[in-house]
Amino acid sequence: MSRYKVSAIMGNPRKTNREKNLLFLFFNDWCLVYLLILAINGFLVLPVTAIPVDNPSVPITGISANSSDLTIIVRNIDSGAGIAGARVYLDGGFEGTTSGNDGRLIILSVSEGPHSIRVIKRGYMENVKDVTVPAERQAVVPLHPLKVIPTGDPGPVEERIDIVFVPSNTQYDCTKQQKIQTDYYSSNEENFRNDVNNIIEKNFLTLDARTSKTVGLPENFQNLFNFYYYSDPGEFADAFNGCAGTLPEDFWDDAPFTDVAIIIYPKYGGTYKGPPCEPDGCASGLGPGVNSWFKTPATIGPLFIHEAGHSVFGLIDTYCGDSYYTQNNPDPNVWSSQSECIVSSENNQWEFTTCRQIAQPAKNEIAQTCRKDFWRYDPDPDIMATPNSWAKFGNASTLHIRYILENINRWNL
Amino acid sequence: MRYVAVFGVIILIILLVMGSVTTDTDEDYTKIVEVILGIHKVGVAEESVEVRYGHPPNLGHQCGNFTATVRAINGTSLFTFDVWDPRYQFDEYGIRSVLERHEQMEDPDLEKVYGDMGETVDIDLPLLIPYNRDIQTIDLVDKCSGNLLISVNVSPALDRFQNRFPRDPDMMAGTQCTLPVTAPVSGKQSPIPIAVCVLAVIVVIILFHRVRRE
Repeated sequence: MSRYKVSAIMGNPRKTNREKNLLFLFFNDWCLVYLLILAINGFLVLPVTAIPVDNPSVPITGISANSSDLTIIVRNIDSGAGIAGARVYLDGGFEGTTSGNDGRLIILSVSEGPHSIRVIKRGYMENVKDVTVPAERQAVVPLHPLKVIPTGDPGPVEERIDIVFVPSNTQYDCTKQQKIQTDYYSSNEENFRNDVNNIIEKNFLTLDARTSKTVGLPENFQNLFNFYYYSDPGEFADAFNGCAGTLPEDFWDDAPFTDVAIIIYPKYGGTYKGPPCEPDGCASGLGPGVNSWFKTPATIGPLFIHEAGHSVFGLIDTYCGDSYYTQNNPDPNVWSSQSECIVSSENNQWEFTTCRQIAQPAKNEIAQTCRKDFWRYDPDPDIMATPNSWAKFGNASTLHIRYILENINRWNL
Repeated sequence: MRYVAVFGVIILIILLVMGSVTTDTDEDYTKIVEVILGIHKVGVAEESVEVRYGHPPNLGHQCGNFTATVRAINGTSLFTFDVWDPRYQFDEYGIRSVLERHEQMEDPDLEKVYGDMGETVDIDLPLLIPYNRDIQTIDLVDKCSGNLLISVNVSPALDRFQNRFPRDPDMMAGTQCTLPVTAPVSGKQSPIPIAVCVLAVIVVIILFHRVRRE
């Protein structure tokens, strides 16, 4: 299209050249062709994304004598109210969303036989129900409100460490050597949320204050965590059933993506100095992943960060005791030989003379001769040796933490 | 005419934006393979294998006594990761054996109590593995001895899932020898996004012709 024709199209001789140029940009052939392509693209893409391709080997819907309409009704399991906007899948294929006050969706011409109905809605646990058509022409699918509630705006679970806090309805009195039922969290969830927010703020969001500045953490490390709290009025953890406590029975079904679960109980009475009292903190698992959790009181920060060192960051104890020792590659905080410790410290340009054998018992432990065939680098007070309020993660521990944070989705799954 | 054209383009852009925002963003077909193993005093046994919807935890960051290897049909390793032995837990002064309690249960009455509670194994070892269409077996190896403790065949669980969710995109991908067909639109799909796009196409064509004619 010539410049003359453009002027003719615009038709107004008083138009400034700048305005004409702008209109030219709007109305030349290419612009319109581009918009046409966009519109056609939208036309093609939308139906394809909304309507799944069927597996021809398994006919699901289609008008025939052996088919019936199936009505799906999605309800809140607590209130019984219908839920609109729930996504419904028949046999794994998307069918549509529920609408109306009764949360209804009618699926036309469903073939006879057994079918699965999967329902998803934000803010609720997903549910799958099996139905047989035509014996069942209506299926009520109850949805339970979400039990695992993010404390903020969560990122993709594959890209972050997903930490779920679980309230305990038990605590312990070491003086009386007695497990005590408590309703501090169960009667008021606000208490639990406040403790969780406090723990997150003081331990995870300010992790850089407890780690080595020399090594440092990834920029915006705070955004590499997703935090959630578990909320089910009928289900609580028991922090004092076994060393690390027990999680609610359905916990892993409810939150399989959990990298680390943390049982929080309100208070530990007295001072734990070993058996016969129950441990105040205990971790099951070394590093984030399957079945990794620990327990800790809401009130003892140093103990929390020590147990988090095990379960969240995969760090090894650096005190000498009856613990589990291994060289936790890569970037370990404990080595199986002095030479490897020295090589690591040299490679990282640290002070290699600091490498020393693990031989110092844990604080408060009965004095005894202890020596392990493992070596450590981090200076005392080291959180993994003596958890107290002034202890820190040294260079080695910080480097391991950094490795974990920089490689959360290790296989790009 | 130009005002009509400008107005038309604005409407068109709005319609296109509407079309794009109505595109589904909640699609989630992520699946996990859940293998529950039972660690007995004398070995490891398969308790259950299930494929289900859900997201797995991040793997490959644990230290532990076991190594799990996820293998494809031809035996090649898809990925390998360490697994912590759940029989052991860390308290403030060292490691504790969860099985201590079991070992102390020499009292047959107590054994019966635990048996009545459904406790048939010493402890469960769950493995939550990201679904991969090539998964065939999961091997668990004792790191210290190098011995294969168990090899779990996940094919039956995959078949059960495929039977239950045959229209799941990943399940349909397994039947690529047959040409897929588009499902009939049975009126259940909201017609608004499609109508918006059709309208957008019509508006563009009309505008195009009117502008060219003038």
